[in-house]
Amino acid sequence: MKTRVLVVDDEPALTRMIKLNLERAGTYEVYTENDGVNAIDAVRDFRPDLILLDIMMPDKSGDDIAQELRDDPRLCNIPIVFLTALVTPDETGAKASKIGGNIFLAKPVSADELVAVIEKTLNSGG
Amino acid sequence: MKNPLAVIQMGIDHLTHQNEGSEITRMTLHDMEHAVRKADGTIRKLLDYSRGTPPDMKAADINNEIRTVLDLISHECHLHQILIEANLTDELPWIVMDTDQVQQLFMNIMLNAVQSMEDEGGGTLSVSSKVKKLNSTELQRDSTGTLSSGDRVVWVEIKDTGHSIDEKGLGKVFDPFYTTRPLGKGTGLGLTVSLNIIRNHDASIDIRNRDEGGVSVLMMFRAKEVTEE
Repeated sequence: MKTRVLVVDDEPALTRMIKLNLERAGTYEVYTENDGVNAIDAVRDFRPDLILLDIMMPDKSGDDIAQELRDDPRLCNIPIVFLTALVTPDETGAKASKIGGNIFLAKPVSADELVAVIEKTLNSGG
Repeated sequence: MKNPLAVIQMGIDHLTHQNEGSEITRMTLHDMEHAVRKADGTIRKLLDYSRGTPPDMKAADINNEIRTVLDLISHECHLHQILIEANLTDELPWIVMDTDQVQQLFMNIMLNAVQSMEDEGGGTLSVSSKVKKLNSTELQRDSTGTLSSGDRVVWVEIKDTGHSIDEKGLGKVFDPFYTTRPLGKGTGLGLTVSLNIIRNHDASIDIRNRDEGGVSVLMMFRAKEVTEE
């Protein structure tokens, strides 16, 4: 059974590229969403095993989406990997501790790094 | 800028797997990946510079920061036949500083020196530290214009035996994106960031050519009576 990954990022070209790279591996089924406002509905519809979530999006931020997911008992256990354009470990660390998230990945990230982080997150139980 | 780079990086990864048999394509993609990393590095430096992060100031021995950086660059020096001469005076007055920033400052300056000597096929990197009461001649190297004759400073000088900087260039070394490195080799932000760090520490920096060739970078930090916390 394939791992279901939801990618939420307002940059369509990036979500397309992530989908292409992950699906090439053959073990992922990827669904993309480019509007933060629709992210929660996408989670409910797609039921992902893991969410790749951009932080800075125009209509609804990744922080807010993560908080909503954490407040929903049916969705709160889905692991989240944040994708961020923030650059320093201090900044990303502070954000993670604030919203109880998992791992932050600074853009640009390579496909290999992305897969490694996804697998590590899933294997650590989120 | 990070999003376009992320798209390009992922695109490169995808194409790399699509073109496993083609050597030229693989090399081209490798070059593109290298360029993405370089652009990412430049953006990080630019963000460091523009962000102006408030320094985390505490009293420390500046010799520790010099030794840390010398340790980090020693392999690079060895690789390029560059001899390190360190003449650090023990028991300097402690300086109130952000140690990470001061390390970055020394790293930027020493790497410039190393690159300059690399071009010459080797040389000597001299680093000295001492405490000084400024006389009128030394005062001419105060870039702040606020030090006075008789002021006590911690004096850190980094000298190389690489190439000199032309007079026009000396006036521009702190300008953002000014570099004497070949196209694509330097970001031109190292000394701009360094000047910011110097200002954060109310210190002075003077860069000038040495008569015997190479460059001298002199930094002066105000020596205040501080005690270990």
